[in-house]
Amino acid sequence: MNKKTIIPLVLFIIFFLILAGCTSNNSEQVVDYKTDFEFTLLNGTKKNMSEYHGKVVLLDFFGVYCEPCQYQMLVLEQIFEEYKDRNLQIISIDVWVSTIGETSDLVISFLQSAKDQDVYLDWTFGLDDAVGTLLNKYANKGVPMIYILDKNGNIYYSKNAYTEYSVLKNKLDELLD
Amino acid sequence: MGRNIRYLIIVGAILCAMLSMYTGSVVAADATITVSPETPSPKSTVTFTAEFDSGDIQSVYLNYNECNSQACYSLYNKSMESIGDNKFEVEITLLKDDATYVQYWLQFKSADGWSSSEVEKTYLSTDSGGDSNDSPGFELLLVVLSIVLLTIIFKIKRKK
Repeated sequence: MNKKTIIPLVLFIIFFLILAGCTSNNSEQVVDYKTDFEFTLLNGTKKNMSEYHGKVVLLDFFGVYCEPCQYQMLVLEQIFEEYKDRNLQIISIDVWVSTIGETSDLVISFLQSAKDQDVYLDWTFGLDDAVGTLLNKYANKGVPMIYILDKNGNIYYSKNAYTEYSVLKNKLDELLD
Repeated sequence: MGRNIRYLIIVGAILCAMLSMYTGSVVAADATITVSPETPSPKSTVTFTAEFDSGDIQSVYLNYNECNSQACYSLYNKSMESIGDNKFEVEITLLKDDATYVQYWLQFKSADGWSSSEVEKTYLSTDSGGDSNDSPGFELLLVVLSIVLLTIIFKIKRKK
């Protein structure tokens, strides 16, 4: 091989390697979702928060036998009705699993009791794990514990107490508009 | 807080439904829980006594949490000690100064397995009776001492 053939060949190989490197990075689809954790849906399916990447998320940590949490649910029902056609995902997670053993059956009964009162809590419900991972990390000060996450999972707002409809609406409007 | 009547009725109805479901699991024995003092203060020490109508209770746990109208704080699960006559007891110290009630129920094991008692609520005292420093009349002592000192100073000045 002479010089005239080798130089273009080397340049081609370098160009190919750079291109291959770029393609490889794109295909990994790394989602940098800040508030990522796993929880269990009422049907037993595991779910990761990063699956909600691109949506505004209203996270509500609750306990079935927590009275203020039930008032919070009624506020969330209003929010759900108003924002259900927008890019908002509401997720309520029962965190009294490890402490007193609340179960998916109990949450299902709670949802049915609400339905009997014409209150339809039709958003996503889930449970913490048996060792209280989410309770200890996100709701250790008490429940209800509300978080609003932006589309990248950053915590935009949080409050450890019953939160009024107007407060949640203002925060959501800031993120969704 | 802006909660309307509808909210109160709905939450009341849901809670009743959930509580009746919980008590529906009680098959082995009936338990009566007494709280001492009857109206405890926030951050005080409270004794819970559970009395059963059956003698085959093997172990008893008290689940309780402290709440106010805005939130319920951490939930605790404490083992109760047998004190004889089908009675079990545990002493707990309340932790939250802004709690307005304690919510509690029992989980107990009998020959028929694990059961739960009804969820009960005890409202906490709103007065500051728990702030005693255990030295009644201490402030009065300072006043008396001041009067005595003033009298002595006054007498010394009069002698001069």
